[in-house]
Order: sequence, then C-alpha cells, then structure tokens
Amino acid sequence: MTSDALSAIPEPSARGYYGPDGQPQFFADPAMDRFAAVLIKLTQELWVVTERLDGLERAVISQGVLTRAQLDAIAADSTVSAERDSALLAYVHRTLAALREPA
Amino acid sequence: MAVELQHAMKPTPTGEDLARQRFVSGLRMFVLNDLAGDLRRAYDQRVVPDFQRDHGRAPANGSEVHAALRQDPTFKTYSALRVNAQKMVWDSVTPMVAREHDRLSAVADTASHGRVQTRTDFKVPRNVSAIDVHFMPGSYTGSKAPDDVTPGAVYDQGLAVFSMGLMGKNLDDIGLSMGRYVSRKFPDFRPLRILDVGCTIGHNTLPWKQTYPNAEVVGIDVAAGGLKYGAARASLQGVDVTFQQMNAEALEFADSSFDQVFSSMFLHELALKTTGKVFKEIRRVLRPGGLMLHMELPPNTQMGAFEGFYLDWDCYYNVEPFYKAFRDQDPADLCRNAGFAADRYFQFVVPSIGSYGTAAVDEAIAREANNVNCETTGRLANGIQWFGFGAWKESAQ
Repeated sequence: MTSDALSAIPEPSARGYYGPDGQPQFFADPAMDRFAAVLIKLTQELWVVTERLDGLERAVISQGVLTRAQLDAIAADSTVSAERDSALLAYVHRTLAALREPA
Repeated sequence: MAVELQHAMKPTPTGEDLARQRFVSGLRMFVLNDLAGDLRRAYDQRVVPDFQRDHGRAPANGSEVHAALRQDPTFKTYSALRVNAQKMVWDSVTPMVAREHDRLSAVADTASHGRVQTRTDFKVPRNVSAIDVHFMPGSYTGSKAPDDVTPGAVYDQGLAVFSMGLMGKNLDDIGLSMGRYVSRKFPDFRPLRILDVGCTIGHNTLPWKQTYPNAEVVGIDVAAGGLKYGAARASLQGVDVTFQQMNAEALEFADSSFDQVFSSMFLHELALKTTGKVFKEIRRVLRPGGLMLHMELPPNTQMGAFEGFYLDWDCYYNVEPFYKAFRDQDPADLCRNAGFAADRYFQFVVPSIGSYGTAAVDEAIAREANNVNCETTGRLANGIQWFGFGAWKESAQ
C-alpha cells in the first residue's frame, strides 16, 4: 500500500494492516504472508504441469499412439515401480532439504 | 471460468498462459464462493459469539466487524488467498500482452483511427496515476507512452480471468443488464445521445449502442491507452461508438447535450470531493428530462454490518482506497447534493443477464427488485446481481 493509497482510507488503524513491505499482512509473522504467496504460486505451477500433461495424453490417444487403457497400464507397471519409488524419495529429499538438521 | 475474448485485439495465449489463467479463475471461484461461505460461518459461529461475550452485543458496523474478523484464522486464509489471486490475475496475462505488443499496437493504430481523440498535454488525475488500482501494474495508464495499448490489453485480458465468466464473453454483462433494465423499465425513454464516463476500454459502453441502435454513444476516460485499445476493440466488433480523453470533473461538452449519462464501477475509484463535481457536471450536460444512471457497489447505509464490510474488504486489501468512503455515502444524497430533485431519484437491483437470463431481468422490473442487503448483490461470485441508481433531470417548464 503506498502512502497515497493509505491516506485515502478513512480509518487510522488501517496502518496496522500492512507489513513492512507495504503489502497486506494477515498472519502474526509477515514472513507467513510471503510463504502463503509461494504456496499458492506453487499450486498454480503444479496445475500448469497437470494441464499440459493432460494435453499430451489426449494428443497421444487422439493420434492413435496409445489408448487410455495402455496409458493407465504404464502408470501401473510394476516393473518400473521400484525406479519410481527411488525417484520419489530423491524428490522428497531434494524439495524438503531445508527441514533437515544440518549435518 | 476464464473467458476467451471474442475479438481481434486478443493476444494468442500459449498452453502455459491458458493453464495459468484457468488456475487463477478457478482459485478465485474457490475463494469467492466456497471460502466466502466459510467466512460467513466463521463469523456467525465464532466471531460474533466472542464479540458478544466481550461487549454484550454483536458488531454494530463494518469497522467492528473488520477488527473482530482480523483475529480469525478463516479471515486470514481467505484474505491471503484473495490478495494473491488478485496479483496472479495480472501476472497471468502480462506476459502474453508483452509478447504480442507490436502486433496489438499496429492493429490498434489502424482500427481505432477516427474513433478516438486523445491529447498529449492531458493531466491524468492522481486517483489513477498515483496508485496501482486493484494491484494492476502501472494502473490504467501503464509505464510506456501515454497512448500505448498495453494497459488496455492487460485490463481486458485481466478482467477475462478476474471475472470467472460472470461478466460474459465480451465482459459486458453490466452494460447489457443495465440496458435491458432501463429500456424495459422506461419504454418511453429513447435516448439519442449517450455518454459513458470513466469507461476504461468501453466494455460496458458498447451495450448501450446495442440497446439503443439509433443513439450516438460516446465514452470518456482519463487513460489514453485504454481508450485507443477500446476504440479498436469496438471497431473490430463493428460497434459504432467513439471515445474521447476527458476528465469527468470538467466535461468538455455543451450544457444539455446528452439524453443519458452512464457510469459503471467508476464512482468508487474517485475521491469523495471529486464525486460531487462529477455529479454536477453530469447534471449540467444532461438535457431536461435526461437520465443519470450509475452502476455501482451497493451502499453501506442499506446493508448489514457483515455484508457491508465484506464488500469494503477491497478498500483495505485490494488497492481501492476510495471504496469505503464512497460506499458510506447514501447515493440519494449524492444525487440531491448535485441538484437533482429528491423525488426523481431511483435505485434497483438487477439480476445479471448472463447468469439469470432476460426473463429474470424483466421479472425484477415487474416486482421493483431492490434487494440491496443480499449476499449476491454487488458480489462478484455465483448468482451476482448488480446495483444501480440514478436520477432524472427535471423537465423544462
């Protein structure tokens, strides 16, 4: 909120509604407001991947490359599940590394 | 959900653009319908009982509702998501507008020719230039040349994401709903000259030409780029409307030169002292027997404390600093203070024509709908209904 905007709001207590960066603050610690923004952006990015993957799958089916049943069979393929398990664990360790105690 | 605009001023989105925009519209649907419902429940079940315990009564006005809600976790998450969704509206459309800037500029240069007048010496007022209105980067004027089309294109595309489909594919639901209402409510009134003040890109100006095909329709605004973009947008849709850069505080039109003066979602972006000047100017340019009509947010004086604050949220958290001061006024007083006779004032609530259909608008006219204190009135969410008010200028004796 710029001082121009703030001065137009007819309520002196409104000054307390913004963090040190001038942005609206709702949580006790302004860092939480920033993390909320990151979380929502990440959710959006996940949707982008979901929608684009959906497009690819539809293209693969409509081109006659694979059927929906074959795509599902690939997802359920037990011969690659071990590879996926280790890929997932690596992913979890990579993305959540900040939660670990320093070595 | 996110609307695909239907005109040639539309940039071509990539797959990523489309997915981002769809997400933002969907996020807003969730926040403004589902979380809004949760907020009401939290208010009734937690906030009011706590307040009653401490004060022996329920919150009596919007400020008390606000102060009490700020302590509640549901308000915090609702608000944090809503602020971010608003910023993400603009984030989701600016890349494609920037990518196609040169093409859009060239199309606008050609298509707006002869339909828009802008001025190089124009002074944009501070309520537009000094703040990023509703978090729109660069506000309505942008950071490039004064008549650059970027802000207009960003606003049009942003509104398509922001409105979640509730303003129609041409973002004209307000104008169409108001047009249907006025033409059916006042069948003997057939305006031949109509002015839309603060029209931005003219998305709600065009419906007046559709409502009254014989009328000359003019839109004015302070932002040159939006007008140029809007003139091209109108031209490419084959709607004969012209635009001029002008400040509504000092209209450059002769006395008694319009049959109708309209605005939509405009007054709440003005400082209150400006609003009085604008009303007087509107009255001056209206011919005797002419109609002043405003589509706006409903006033706090006619709403409950929670319902009123729910709308005032934007004043505090959506860079709409003039919002509450406007909504605290009685619109009948604003009209009377500008010289309109008290008995020539009227107000109404009209169901969105896109959401409910024309029969519902006609039915609202028949029963003189005025359900102001209602959770669908003025709230951009499922079931939206628009608030309107106006006054007739007395006829010459």
